[in-house]
Amino acid sequence: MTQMVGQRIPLIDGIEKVTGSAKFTGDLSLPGLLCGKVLRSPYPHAKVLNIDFAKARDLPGVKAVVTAQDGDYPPYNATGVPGKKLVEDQYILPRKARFVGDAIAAVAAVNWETAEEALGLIEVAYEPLPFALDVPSALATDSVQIHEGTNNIAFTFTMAQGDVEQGFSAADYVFTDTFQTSKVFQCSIEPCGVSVAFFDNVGKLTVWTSTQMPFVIRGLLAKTLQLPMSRVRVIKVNVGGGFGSRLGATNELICALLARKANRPVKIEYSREESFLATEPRHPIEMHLKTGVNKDGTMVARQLKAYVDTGAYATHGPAITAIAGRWFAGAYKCPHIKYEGITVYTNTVPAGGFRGYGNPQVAFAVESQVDRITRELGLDPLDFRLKNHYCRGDVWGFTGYKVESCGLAACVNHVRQRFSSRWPTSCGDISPATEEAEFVRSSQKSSPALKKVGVGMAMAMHVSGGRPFLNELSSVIEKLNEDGTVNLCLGCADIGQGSSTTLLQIAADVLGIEIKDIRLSSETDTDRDPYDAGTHASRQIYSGGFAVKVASTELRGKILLMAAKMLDVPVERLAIRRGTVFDLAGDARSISVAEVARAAHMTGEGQIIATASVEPPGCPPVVGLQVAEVEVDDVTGSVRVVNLFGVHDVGKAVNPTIVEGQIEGSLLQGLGYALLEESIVDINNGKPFNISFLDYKLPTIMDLPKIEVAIVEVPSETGAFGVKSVGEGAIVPTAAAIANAVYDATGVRITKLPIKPEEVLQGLQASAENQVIFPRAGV
Amino acid sequence: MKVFTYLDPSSLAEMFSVLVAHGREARVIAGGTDLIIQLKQERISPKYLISLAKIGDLGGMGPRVLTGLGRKPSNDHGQETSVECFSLGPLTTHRSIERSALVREKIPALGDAVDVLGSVQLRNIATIGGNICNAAPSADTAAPLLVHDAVLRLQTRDSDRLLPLKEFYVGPGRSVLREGEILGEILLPMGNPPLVSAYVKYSRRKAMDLPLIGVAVAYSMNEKMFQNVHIALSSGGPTPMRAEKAEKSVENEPVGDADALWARAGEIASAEASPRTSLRCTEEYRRHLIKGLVPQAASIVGARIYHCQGDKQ
Repeated sequence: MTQMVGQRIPLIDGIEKVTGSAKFTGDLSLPGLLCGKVLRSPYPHAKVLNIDFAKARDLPGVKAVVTAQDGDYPPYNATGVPGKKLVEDQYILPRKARFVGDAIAAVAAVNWETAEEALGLIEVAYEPLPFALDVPSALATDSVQIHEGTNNIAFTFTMAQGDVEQGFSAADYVFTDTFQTSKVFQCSIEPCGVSVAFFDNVGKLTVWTSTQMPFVIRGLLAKTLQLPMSRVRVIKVNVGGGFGSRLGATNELICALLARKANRPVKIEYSREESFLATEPRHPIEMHLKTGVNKDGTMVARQLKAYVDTGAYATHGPAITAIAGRWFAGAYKCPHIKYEGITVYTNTVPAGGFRGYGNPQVAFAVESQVDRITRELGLDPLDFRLKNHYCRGDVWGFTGYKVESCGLAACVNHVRQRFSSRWPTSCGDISPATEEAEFVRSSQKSSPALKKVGVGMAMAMHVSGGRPFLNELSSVIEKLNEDGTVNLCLGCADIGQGSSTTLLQIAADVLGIEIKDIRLSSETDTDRDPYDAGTHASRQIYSGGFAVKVASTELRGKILLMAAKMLDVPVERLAIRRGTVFDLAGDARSISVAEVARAAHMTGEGQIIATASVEPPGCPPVVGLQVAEVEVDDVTGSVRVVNLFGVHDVGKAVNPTIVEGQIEGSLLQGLGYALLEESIVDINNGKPFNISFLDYKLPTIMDLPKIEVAIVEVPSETGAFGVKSVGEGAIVPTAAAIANAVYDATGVRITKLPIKPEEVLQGLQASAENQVIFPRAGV
Repeated sequence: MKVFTYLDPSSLAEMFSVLVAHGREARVIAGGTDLIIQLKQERISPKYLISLAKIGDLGGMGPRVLTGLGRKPSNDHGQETSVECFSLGPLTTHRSIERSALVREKIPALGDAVDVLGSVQLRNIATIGGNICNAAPSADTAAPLLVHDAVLRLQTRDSDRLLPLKEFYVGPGRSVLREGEILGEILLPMGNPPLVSAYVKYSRRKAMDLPLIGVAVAYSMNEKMFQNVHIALSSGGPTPMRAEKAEKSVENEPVGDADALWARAGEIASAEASPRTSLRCTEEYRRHLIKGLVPQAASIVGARIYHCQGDKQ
């Protein structure tokens, strides 16, 4: 049998997705299903003095109204990470609104129109409070207390190694820069926030939800509604993309409250606007970065102070703040490192996880500054990275584990080959002004008189899973059926990224059973499937794959033991291929796995079942390099990315098509982060301005540049078949690569995302005359 | 979205009778690509939506000779002039305009505009009449129609009137269209020599985006001079507008000074425009864009004229 690992097999759920037959949470229908709608605060900060919902309740067709006046439910943190001390500052329906969009009340009615009408009949008396919409104003004011007694600081985190002050004074050069990133949304194709809740006749709650974390949602429902976990069942059906937006509770808790009050099933389906208003985007971070470096390019001291804007609630803010420090420390080795992170509350939508979990922000700062350092010191940027990065055998600054394997040298070779005129093998003195990018010569369309061209690069390291900071439990039950087929019950949620297909490839190779005979449901059901930490931290193939390998090895062993008994040969002589057990010595007859399974069922042995509930042993880092080629229009200042090149070490590409898809998607999403996307809030009233795709500028397919992807496979020691990860790492360096290319083209260093044409122009002109020409819109 | 009644009359007469009957409570819907969004956001909440989709005679395009277009003071001798026009039915979709070779030949700027309006899917549905009647300052088709001196035929149940497009707009989203009146036809007079035109749009994204500035330029040339110079802006002010001072600065000026003339025209247009600072973009940047895009559009026109002459030789 051909090895399945390494094959470009189609997604197991590809046909149903493409034909539209796949069922998502929003497609669910139940007898008596009600429509739930949420009433949101129009104020960024306001006390809720009174809620009069009599008119809404009495509207024909309305079956339930819930408000904060119903009573207190325990506070929670929407991340629901088990086993951690969390800042629990959220309530299902709070008595104080902390951002425009905060949920104040909710209605369940027989149809959407009635629910909508009922919302309009709820009279809320607000007492508007002064508000703070960004970090500087939240820290500057005493009059705004978003959470009483916090002074708007949710969390602080420091870490240090060596003595940075000593390092800076010893360094030949010290570079100091400030960077600022924007608030951006994941924009998965299925809007974030779709759930259906239902209490059955014995009071057991079932919630269907579009989530990355079924077991976390079960925990949050049990906690806030004060139910035992055994009475809460969470089912994840197909999910239309996650990217971190579905890492915690969205509207499952409100939905369950409505279902309990109405005593009927309720569905809440957020519109795109509500997804923008009330689900978690990426944290904006203001970063003050200082690096001491010697003439030869050795990093001597590194220091970062980061202000993380968590929005109205803590949720992921503290974790991002701490992890940002790890990303910083894990980017380059250095004897003296200091990090200080401050999580700040603002009266904006609370932020959360978004592909990279703090790393894209930190990499934008670090890789932009490394570009500056290598240019000003006249160093080859690839040699600089090879010199300072964490390589195999080093203790990685992120995890504290030894680096199992490192593909950076291979990545560097790819870049040198592809961009040989720019970054030749021997590091010479390259002057950006005289070196013309390759694409310009071949490009017929560009008009050199009006365009400046440039090339930039950036590096990224990322994790495979959350160890040692998170519990990384993955669990599998593999059940052999009497016809020789296998059901794989896995608590891991495939959210569209293709993990189910990849995990089946691993199972097939370990078991010796063909993929068509192994079934892995697209559904995760907490009643049926064993515990899994969830789909986050690029962990499903490293961590989930590890558990699948352990369980499959056990299942194969049990099949072989049973077969050995049946054939009366030593078990060591037997192997399984294509669903057939055969004797390696060739003496005994071959029997099918189906025969073995039947025999086990019928002869008192019992069904052959294997389980694994394990954490993988490590957290192998992945590394990648990206190169952007840009054209900058002299007249408009706009940046056109002509080409994006990404080369990434993934350990082992179990399914290269899926791996390439992950990298291509990351590059496009990274391009949006670099050039187009940002949530804009009206400073006068705290209202988000761009809550639709007209004004939230997600790149379209027309904005897609040429994309080139190369895969490097330097296997990990601990992952099944040497796997590491690919889901998030490839979005980490993209914005910095593009910003560095803009610098190469124009000499303008952009330190604030997104890169705006106005600011590029301003930079161009400010080099001559130091003045602000285009103030930033809305500020 | 509030509940409404959908009416789809199959003739103009039937349409006018329901339009008159429901008055202000009714809105007319063509492609609906803007209107449906407004309904969903409850920026409008009509009780009746009157669809034009089933009325056969509001689509199509082509040349047509029109009498009675002469409303100019110079033409008040009671003589009816007949003018060769290009006629567009209001229900003509952007996609069919995009695919029309005749449009490319006669009204090139309009072809440019529909190339970059929304997306193919949207252009399949959205209509030119809707783009005009919606009266958005950022309408992509507005600037091209303005430089071609478009005239609208506005119809009520009992009467017809002709109105130059530049008198149609009143403010953002507001026009002089009266209650009970619809846009019946868009007429573009074909000059002699013919006007050659171009439209240049600047937006953040390459598709599904509004212009931060759209510039249309049209002119003809004799051997020595620029003539019939027309410049119009989308998103240049509260309504789509002509930049008349900029036009005058080029009119009858020598072709040989093109670069300097159009650079100056860009500056004049930028000064006479009244763009605003919004959360999308600042006024300063819009003015800068006008300055840069007027010469770009003009040079495309120049290339087109040169190209045509090349064909003829």
